[in-house]
Amino acid sequence: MAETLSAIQLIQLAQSLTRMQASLTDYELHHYTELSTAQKNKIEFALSQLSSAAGRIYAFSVQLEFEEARKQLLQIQGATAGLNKFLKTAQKIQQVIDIVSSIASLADSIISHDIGGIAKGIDQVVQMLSNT
Amino acid sequence: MKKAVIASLIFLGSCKSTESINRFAKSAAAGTAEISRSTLSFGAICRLYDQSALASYTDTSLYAKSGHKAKHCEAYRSADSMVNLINLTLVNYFTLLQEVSDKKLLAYDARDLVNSLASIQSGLNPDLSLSEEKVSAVKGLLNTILNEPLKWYRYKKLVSTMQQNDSALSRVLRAYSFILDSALNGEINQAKENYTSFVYAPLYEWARTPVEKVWINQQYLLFMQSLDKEKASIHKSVLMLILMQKDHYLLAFGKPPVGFAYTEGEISQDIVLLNKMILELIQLIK
Repeated sequence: MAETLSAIQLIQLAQSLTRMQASLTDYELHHYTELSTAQKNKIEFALSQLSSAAGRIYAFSVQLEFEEARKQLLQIQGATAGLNKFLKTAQKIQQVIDIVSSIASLADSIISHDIGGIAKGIDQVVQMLSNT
Repeated sequence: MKKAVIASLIFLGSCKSTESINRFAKSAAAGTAEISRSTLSFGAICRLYDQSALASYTDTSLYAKSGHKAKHCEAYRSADSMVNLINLTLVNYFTLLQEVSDKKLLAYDARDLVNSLASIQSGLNPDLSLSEEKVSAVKGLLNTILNEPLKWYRYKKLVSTMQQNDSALSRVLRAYSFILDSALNGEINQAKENYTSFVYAPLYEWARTPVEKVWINQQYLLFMQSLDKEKASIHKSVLMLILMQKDHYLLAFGKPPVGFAYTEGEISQDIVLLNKMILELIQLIK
C-alpha cells in the first residue's frame, strides 16, 4: 500500500468532502424548523470545517501533480533553451549571408567608381560586422 | 555532379516544409496564453468564494462595515505559482518552435548578390555580360543553394527536438489538464457548495415573504450561472490541451502508414479548431 496519497486520490478525497457538505446543507435546509439552535450551530461548524478542508485539498493536489511532472517540465525548459540557442546560430548564418551580399555590392560600387555607393557599402559592412 | 547536388537540395527542401509546424506552434502558443487569461486563478477562488469572503453576501451591519477578508489562501497561491510556471514553460516552448519554424528566418533573397555579380562581370569583361535570362536563372539557383541546406538543417533540428521532447510535453500537458479539470473544477464545485451553505441557506431561512424567497432564488441562479461559465472555460481549455498533445505527436512522428500528408491534413483541421476555441474562450470571458 502506498505511503502517501496520489494527486488523483487527493481529488477523490476532496470531492467526498464537497459531497458531504452538500448533503449536510441539504439536510439543514429541509429540517431547519425542527433543529435546535445548538444543532444548527454544530451543523454550521461542520460545514465550515468541511469547506475549508476540501478547498485546501484541491489546491494541495496541484502541488502533488506538479511534483510528479517536474522532471518533464525541466526537460521542456531545456528543449526551449536549446531551440533558443539554435535560433541565435541561425540568425548568425543569416548575418554572414548578408555580409557576403554587402561585400558584393561594395565591390560593384568600387568598379563603377560610385563614391556614394562605396561609402554606403562600407557603412553597411561595418554595421553588419559589429552586429555579429 | 553539380546538377545532381542542386536537384537533391531542391527536393529535400521542398518536401520538408516547416509550414505546418509553424502554424501549429503559433496556434498552440496563442491558445496556451489564452488559457492563462481566461481561467480563474486558485488565489481568486480563495479570495472570492472562501467562507469568510462569502460572508459579505449576508452582512447586515450598517454600510457592511464588518470585514470579510478571505483567510488561509497560502495553499491557493502556491498552486497558482506552479500553474503559472507550467503555462509559461509551454508558451515559451511553443513560441520558440514558432520562431525557429518561421519561413522568414533564413529566407534569403539572392537578387542583390546576383545583380552585383552581373555588374562586376560586365565591368571587367563586357563581352561576358550575363543576359536577363541567365541572371534570373542564376538568381533561382543561388536562392536554392543558400536556402535549401539551411531549411533542411532547420527542419531536422525542429523534428528531432519535437521527437525527443514529445513524451515530456505529453506528461506536462496531462498535468496541466489534470490541474484544470480536477483541481480547479473541484474548487469551482466547492465554491458553489460554499454559496449554498453559507449564503443561500441562511438567506432563505431569514426570508419571510414569497417575494424575498423568489429574489434569493434568482440570486442563487445568477451565481451558479457565473460559475458554470468558468467551468465552460475550463472544459474548452482542456480540449485545447488535448489537441495540442495530439498535434505535437503527429508533427514529431507522422502517422504511419499514411505519413506526413495525413499529418498535414489533420493539423490544418485542428488548427482551425484550435483558433475557433481560442475565439470562444475570449467570448466567454467578455
